Amino acid sequence: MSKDYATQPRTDIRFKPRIVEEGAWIKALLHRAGFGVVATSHEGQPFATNNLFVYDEPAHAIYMHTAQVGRLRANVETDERVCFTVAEMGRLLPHQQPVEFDVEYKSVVIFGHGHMIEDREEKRRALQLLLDKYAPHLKVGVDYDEMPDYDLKRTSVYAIQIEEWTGKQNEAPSDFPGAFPYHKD
Amino acid sequence: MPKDYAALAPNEVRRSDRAVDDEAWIRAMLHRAPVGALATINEGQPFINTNLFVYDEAEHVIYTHTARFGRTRSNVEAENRACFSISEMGRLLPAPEALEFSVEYSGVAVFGPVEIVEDAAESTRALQLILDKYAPHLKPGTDYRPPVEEELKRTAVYKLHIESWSGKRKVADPDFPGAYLFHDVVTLYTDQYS
Repeated sequence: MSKDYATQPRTDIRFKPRIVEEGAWIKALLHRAGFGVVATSHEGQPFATNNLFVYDEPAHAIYMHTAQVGRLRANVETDERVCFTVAEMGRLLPHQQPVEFDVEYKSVVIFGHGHMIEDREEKRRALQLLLDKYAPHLKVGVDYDEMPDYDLKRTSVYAIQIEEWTGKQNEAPSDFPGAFPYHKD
Repeated sequence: MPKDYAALAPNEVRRSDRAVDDEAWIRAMLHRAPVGALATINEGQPFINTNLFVYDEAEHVIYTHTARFGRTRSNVEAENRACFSISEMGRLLPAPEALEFSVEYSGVAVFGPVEIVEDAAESTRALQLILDKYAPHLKPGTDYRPPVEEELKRTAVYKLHIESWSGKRKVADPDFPGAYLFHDVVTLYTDQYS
């Protein structure tokens, strides 16, 4: 008999063998992920937006640098609930039975509240964390200038306060017969 | 004055200079993308999951093949509207001013209702399309047994009817000064956490 998912906690994962409980594993995936997808909704219509982001461990929050005005902002102003995900795809795993074809992956799903950061210094810190992640070989004051207050005013930073997360993984033995990476030119 | 996004079409792109109207480009990207993220909702709570998928150009739909029962199913049974997103990240583009840093990317967002495919023949065809995309070097009947309708009862095929889509892209000159891939610098960042 199928579960009624509408009444289950939002973090419930159907297929238990794929669950990763370890917080360190989840954090590591969040730190190394190049981009994430944030889902918001507006009057029943879901939206998914791809963004660069940084995971701030001390604040347990996700920061993204986005537009002053736009869909994301408009949506969270009426409903601040969001879902955020990062995923890595591994090898494809062929099988004699077609419905048993599988794929390796690692993913994290986050539930939380989204809001725009208004405080100037909080904004500055979040933007610096983004620069530290995406340009770790470049240094502020050496390779690029510090952010002037004026610039900070016309910039908006979007934060997701993390309430819950889940990790999921499917990994096959390295010698899985016929495993291959996905390539398409 | 900012636009009221609540009143605009879902596929409205704010940065019109980044919008891609070339439908052939959108289709090509849907054909080559390895995974897509499907956003659905339940009583206002958004959910998002990442899936293998195939774009069926003839039917103008997206098929995913997942669990028979699960969150996606219960969500779309109550509210069938969905958003499906694919993206590729290119090079990071440094600048002398921190806030001018940028990134190359290509992205497509698709909007439409999701239907659970009940017809066994259609499910079988959709599964074969997925296999043809992901395992083009393997042939049914030779490398694996062709899908049979009976086994599809244990799984579910979801069909997103494409109502609207938008494409978005930013590409810099190949010789953009200092451009680099995140992949090439990421360990400089993550080393502090290991």
